[in-house]
Amino acid sequence: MLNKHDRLGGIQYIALISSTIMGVIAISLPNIAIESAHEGALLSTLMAGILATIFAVIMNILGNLFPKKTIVEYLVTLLGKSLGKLLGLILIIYFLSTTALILRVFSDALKGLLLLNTPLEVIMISMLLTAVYLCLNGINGIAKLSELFLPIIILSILLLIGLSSSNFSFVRLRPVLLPSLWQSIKSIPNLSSAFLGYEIILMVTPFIARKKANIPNTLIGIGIPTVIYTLLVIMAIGAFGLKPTQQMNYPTITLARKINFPGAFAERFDIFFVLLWILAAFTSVANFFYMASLSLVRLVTLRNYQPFVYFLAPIVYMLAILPQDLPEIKMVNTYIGYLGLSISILAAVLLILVLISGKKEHENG
Amino acid sequence: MKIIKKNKNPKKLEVLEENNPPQLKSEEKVDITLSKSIDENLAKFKAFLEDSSDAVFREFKLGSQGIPCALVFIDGLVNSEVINENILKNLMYEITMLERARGQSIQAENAYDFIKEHAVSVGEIAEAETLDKSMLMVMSGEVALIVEGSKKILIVNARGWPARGVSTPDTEGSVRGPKDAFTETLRVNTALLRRKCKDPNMVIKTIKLGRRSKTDVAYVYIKGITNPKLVEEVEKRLNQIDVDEIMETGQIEQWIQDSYLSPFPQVQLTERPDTTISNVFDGRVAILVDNSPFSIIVPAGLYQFFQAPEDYYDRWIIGSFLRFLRWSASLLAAFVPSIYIAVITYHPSFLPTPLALAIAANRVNIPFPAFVEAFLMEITIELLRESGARLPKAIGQTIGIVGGIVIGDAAVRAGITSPSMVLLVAITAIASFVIPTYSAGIALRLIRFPLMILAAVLGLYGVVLGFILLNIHLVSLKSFGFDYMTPQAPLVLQDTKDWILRLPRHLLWNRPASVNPVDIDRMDQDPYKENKNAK
Repeated sequence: MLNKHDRLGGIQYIALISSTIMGVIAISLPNIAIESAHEGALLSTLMAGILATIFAVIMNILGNLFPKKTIVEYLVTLLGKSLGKLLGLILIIYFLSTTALILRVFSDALKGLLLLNTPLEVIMISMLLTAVYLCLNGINGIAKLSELFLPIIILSILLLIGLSSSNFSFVRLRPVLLPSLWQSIKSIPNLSSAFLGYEIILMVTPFIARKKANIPNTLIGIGIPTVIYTLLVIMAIGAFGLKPTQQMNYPTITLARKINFPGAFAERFDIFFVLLWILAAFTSVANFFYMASLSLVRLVTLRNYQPFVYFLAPIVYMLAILPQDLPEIKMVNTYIGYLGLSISILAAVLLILVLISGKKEHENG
Repeated sequence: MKIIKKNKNPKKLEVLEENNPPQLKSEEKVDITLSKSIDENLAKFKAFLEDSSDAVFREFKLGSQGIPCALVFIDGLVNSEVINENILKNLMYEITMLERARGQSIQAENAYDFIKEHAVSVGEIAEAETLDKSMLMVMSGEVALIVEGSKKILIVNARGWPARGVSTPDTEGSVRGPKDAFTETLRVNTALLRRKCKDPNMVIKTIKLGRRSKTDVAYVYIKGITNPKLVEEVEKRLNQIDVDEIMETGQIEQWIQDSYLSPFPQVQLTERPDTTISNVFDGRVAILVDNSPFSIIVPAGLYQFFQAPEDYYDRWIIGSFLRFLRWSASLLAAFVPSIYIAVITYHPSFLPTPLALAIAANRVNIPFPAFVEAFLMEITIELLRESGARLPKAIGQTIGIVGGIVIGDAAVRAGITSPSMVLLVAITAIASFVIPTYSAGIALRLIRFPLMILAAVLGLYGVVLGFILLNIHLVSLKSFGFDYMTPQAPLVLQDTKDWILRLPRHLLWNRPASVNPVDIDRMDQDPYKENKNAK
């Protein structure tokens, strides 16, 4: 019909990347950063962001060499059928387990923060069903929803940062300003899991309008979460200090709890931010879930992904209830972080391979 | 879905193959071709109309030769003055004078042409060569003049029926701006539009819809502004309508909308000519239906339902403020009851302690949980609204008084509800009536109820899930193929100037890009545009 832009615009591309990356971890990031990097928390977050940016750019270049295919398809083109399909399968497992992990972490956090007496399963299933409903609307629906929610999320986090500036003190920030470089570098792998989600580039490039999935857009898309995460770490440390932040499960929410300004209509601002954080978490879950179903349907070379959404939903749910307790979740988180990094490295290797062999696909080819 | 289509298609194919206009339906099969004999032609009309008391057959003799003629018309649909003065008087009296002056008498062979050229002093005439065409004209209020010796029937426009005059809008009143509203007569409505736009490029095309009702449906657009593909799409969708009767624009709306599974209106209905014409100027298409004082405007985005014509007539700061107020009110109307339920039931700590204590103290004697209380009160106010909507004005006051009791002190003292709940319901009701478009307001009031259920089950998390679900639904909606949530999703930057805020007039140099007009510039002498060209 009219005006049917099957292909997404530049802003939608940016929104997709940013909203996929920004998600559950936003509320616990300062804690994770300090736990793994101590004094290097700030530098480490920044470096993890920069590393993610580099990988994202690599993926972007790689994706643009195959403007009509997703990674699942050009893996087969590049590496042959058996190896290509195997790596594609690993990719699906990665997307699936990330969906499950985000869902689980989200539900755990939400149960602790908002719904103490609600069963975990209810939270997970309701979230998953909402994600299924979105995924059935396809990439257009997902992109438009990301576009709709991203400004809300960014504005609310900026509001949080602005409102809690009265609690901020540069003195507390002093230890992290001169960190040991080695410590910071060493903890990048732990922190890089916070930035996972840019792999979406590998899957969405064929849906983006010509010349819109370019490097500046990618940089903006991944720059938004990098800046916001870094700001969150700075604010948390500046407001509480290094050691107290490490004690907090959800420093960002504590930050919101400490806000008080005259004429406030609500007692606890943290609930307000928890609600907005649900939006951020939802876009991550739904986007990853869509990537999983999309990559599966591309792997088996079928056209309609919708049955796969129904098919994968129970699998995600089962994966999500699998970990028994917090340490297990953290362990899974670490593995998935490494898996994500390996996929990024795989993308880099693929790019080198393409550049050497010249097996790229032309725009009209 | 597919089965229905399969059943539908063969019929359509048949019609196309025969290449005939649809035939009249009657128990007696009547040949639609006309003959030269007036008796045969009259008999054909009478086969349909004999039993109807409002059909008039006036037979008379023309001129000195006494050529038999007949008028066929429907009493009540025609202006009898025109018939008496401009048709009958000419044909029965003046024509004999003419014959005498010229010294020749009219013969049966040229009687028809003579009448057409010399005798009927009416501006709009037409000719019909088949029975169904002339019958349709007669049924729409024209006069059929049958003359012996002619295979054609002269159709004379003498329409005139009881109609309501142009009055002030009932549902879309305004403080500033024109106070005229559409009426039930299509011609009056198109005239109202023409009066506001003298550009000959404004096209008013009319088609007839409804197998039996044969309702006139007109669509209006401006050549050179409106995207021709949009016009094509409108034509296509209108022509797909294949039903017995079309009574109202609302029926057309339901046939041409994109998704029938949504409470949200996907076309804009308005009774204001100024709203209609300004949307046509924006590159949209307006559809008018005879017998309906409403016009349909397509495509529609959600943001249009928050616009009132006054936004453009007032100063921009006031317009922007009102716009912002309406958007906030829509959020209030949809979400306040569910947030109340969630906070009271699950998260009382969200409120400042004094307020939480006050509400708790109010609720001590209430036998119901917050959800039941809120649901009862919201249903009550919907009942009040619905009963008030159709009540005669004389007893309308009763509802006001009774409403004050039901949603008021008496309900509180009876121990059914708490004062805070009454306050809340009142706020929701006021907020829901702020939205200028009735159909959008009712959709927002409707989604309150599922949101309340979600809030009762999952607390604030349920409310947020409801918000997400609502937004997923909205972004997936389309109106004539255009995105419903524009200009936000997908973001159309140049349209955001006229969205939640209404920026100063000189900044609104473009027509909404989201409807893809052929000519996007609304103003020529625009500094910003010149800069753009310089680049």
